[in-house]
Amino acid sequence: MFFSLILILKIFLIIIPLLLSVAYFTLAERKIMASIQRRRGPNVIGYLGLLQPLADGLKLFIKETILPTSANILIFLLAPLLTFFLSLMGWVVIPFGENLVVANVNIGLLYLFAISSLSVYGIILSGWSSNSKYAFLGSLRSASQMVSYEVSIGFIVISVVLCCGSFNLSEIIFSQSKVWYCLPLFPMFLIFFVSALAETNRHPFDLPEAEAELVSGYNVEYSAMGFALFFLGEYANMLLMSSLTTILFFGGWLPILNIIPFNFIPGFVCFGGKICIFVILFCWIRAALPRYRYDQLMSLGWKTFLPVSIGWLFFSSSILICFNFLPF
Amino acid sequence: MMFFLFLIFLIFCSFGVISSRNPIHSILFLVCVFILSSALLFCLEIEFLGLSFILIYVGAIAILFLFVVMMLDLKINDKLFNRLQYDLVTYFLIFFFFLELALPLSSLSSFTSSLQYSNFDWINWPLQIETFTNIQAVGQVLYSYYFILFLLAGFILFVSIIGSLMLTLTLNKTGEMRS
Repeated sequence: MFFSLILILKIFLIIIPLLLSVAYFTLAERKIMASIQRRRGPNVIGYLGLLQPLADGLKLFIKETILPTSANILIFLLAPLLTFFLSLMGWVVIPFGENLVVANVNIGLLYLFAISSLSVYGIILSGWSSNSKYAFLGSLRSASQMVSYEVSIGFIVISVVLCCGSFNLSEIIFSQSKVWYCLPLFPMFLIFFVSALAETNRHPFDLPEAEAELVSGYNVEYSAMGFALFFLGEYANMLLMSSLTTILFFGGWLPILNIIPFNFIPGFVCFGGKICIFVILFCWIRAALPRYRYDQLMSLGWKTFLPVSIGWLFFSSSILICFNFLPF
Repeated sequence: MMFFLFLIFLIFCSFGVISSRNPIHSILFLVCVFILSSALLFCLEIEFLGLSFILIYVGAIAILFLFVVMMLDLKINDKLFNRLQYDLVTYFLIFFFFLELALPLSSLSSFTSSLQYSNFDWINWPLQIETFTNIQAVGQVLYSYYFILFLLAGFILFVSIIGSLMLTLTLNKTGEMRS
C-alpha cells in the first residue's frame, strides 16, 4: 500500500511539472518568436502574459468537441489519447539527476525508441479515422517522415552506445564525465538534432503546420480537447527529444566544468538549463528558417542522413577497435 | 498471474484479427497481439527481446501493413454465406493446429527435455562468477554458438533487399539504370 502510494506520488511528480513546462514552452515559443520579429508577444493576461497558456488551455477545454459524422468514433477518440499518453510514458526512464530517475532500467534507450515508434500510431490512426482525404494524406506524410528519420536516429544512437557500452541512460551520462560526446561525435550531434526536428514534426520540417499549401495535417478534423491532447503530446515529445539530446551528447546532469563554482549547481538545474538551450534553439529555428518541400525532406533523410550515419557508425567502431577503446 | 491475464487478452485479440470485418481493425488487433506478446516476454524477464519485438514488428512491419491496407481501396465483403464459408475453413484449420500443439504438450516433460538437449556440453564458466544483462547474454550466444545461423539470416535479408530493389528499378533500352 505504502509502496504503491509512493509510486503514484512519483508519477505525479513527473507529470505535473511536465505539463507545466509544456504550457510554458508554448508561451516561451511565442515570446521568443515575437522578440525575434520585434513584436511584444502575448502580454495581456497576467503579469507580462504569464497566464496566457492557462487561458489557452481553458479556452480549448470549454470548446465544443466536434465529432465528424462519418468518422470511426472509437479510433477517432483513441488516437489523441494514445499520442498524449505515449509522450508521457517516455519520461519514466529519463534521469533528471544522479539517482533521480523513476525506472533505472538497463535498456532505457531501447525503451525510448520503442515508445517513439509507437507514437506514430496516434498520427496514422487520427488521419484514417477522421475519414477525410486531407487528414488522411497529412497523416501518411507525417508518419512516413517520422519513420524515415527514426532510422538515422537509430544509427546515431548505436554509435553513441558503442562509445559508452551501455543502453542505460545514467551510465551513458556517467561515461561522459571526461568529455561530452558532442565533441568527439560532433557531426552525429548535428544530424541527431536535425533528425529530432523532423521526428517531432517541427520547423523546418513542419508539414502538418502548412495550412496554406497542404491544409494542415493529420489533426484538421480535431477540435477542443482532441486538438489540445495532440498539441500537448507534440510539445512533450519536443521536450523529450531535447532532453535525449542533452543526455546523449551534452552530459545530462553533469556540470559544465568539474571545478569548484560549477560543482555546486545541483544536477537537475544543470539538466534543465541544458534542455532550455535546446528549447530556445527549437523556437529560434522556427522563427528563422523557411519550410522544406516534402520530397526534399525525404531525400535529405534517406539519401544524406542515413548514409552519413551508417558511415560514421563504421568509422567510430573501427576507431574504437583500432585504439582498443571499446568500453567492455 | 499477470502472465495469464496477458495470455487471455492475447487469445482474445488474435480472434479479433481473423474475425473483424474491417481490415484496418484486424491490423490494429494484430498490433495488440504483438504488444501483448512482448508483454509476455516482459513477464518472463526477457526485456530485450520484448522491446525489439515492439521496435521491429509494431514500429516497422505493422506500420507498413497499415500503410498498404489504408492505401488500397478495399470493399468490405460482408455476405453471410461468405463469412460462413471462410470461417468454417478457418476454424477447421485452428482445430488441427491446436491438435498438433496438444499432442506434444500432452507429453510435456519429454518434450521440454528434448528442447533442452543440445550438442554442446559445456560449463559456462563466466556465468559461474558474474551475472549478465539481457543484451550481453543474447550477444554471447548469438556471436559464438549460433553465428552461422546469424550470418545466414543476414544473407537472407540482404537477398530480399536486393530483390525488392530490382523489382522497383526500371531498365532503359540502353541498359542504363533509372530509379
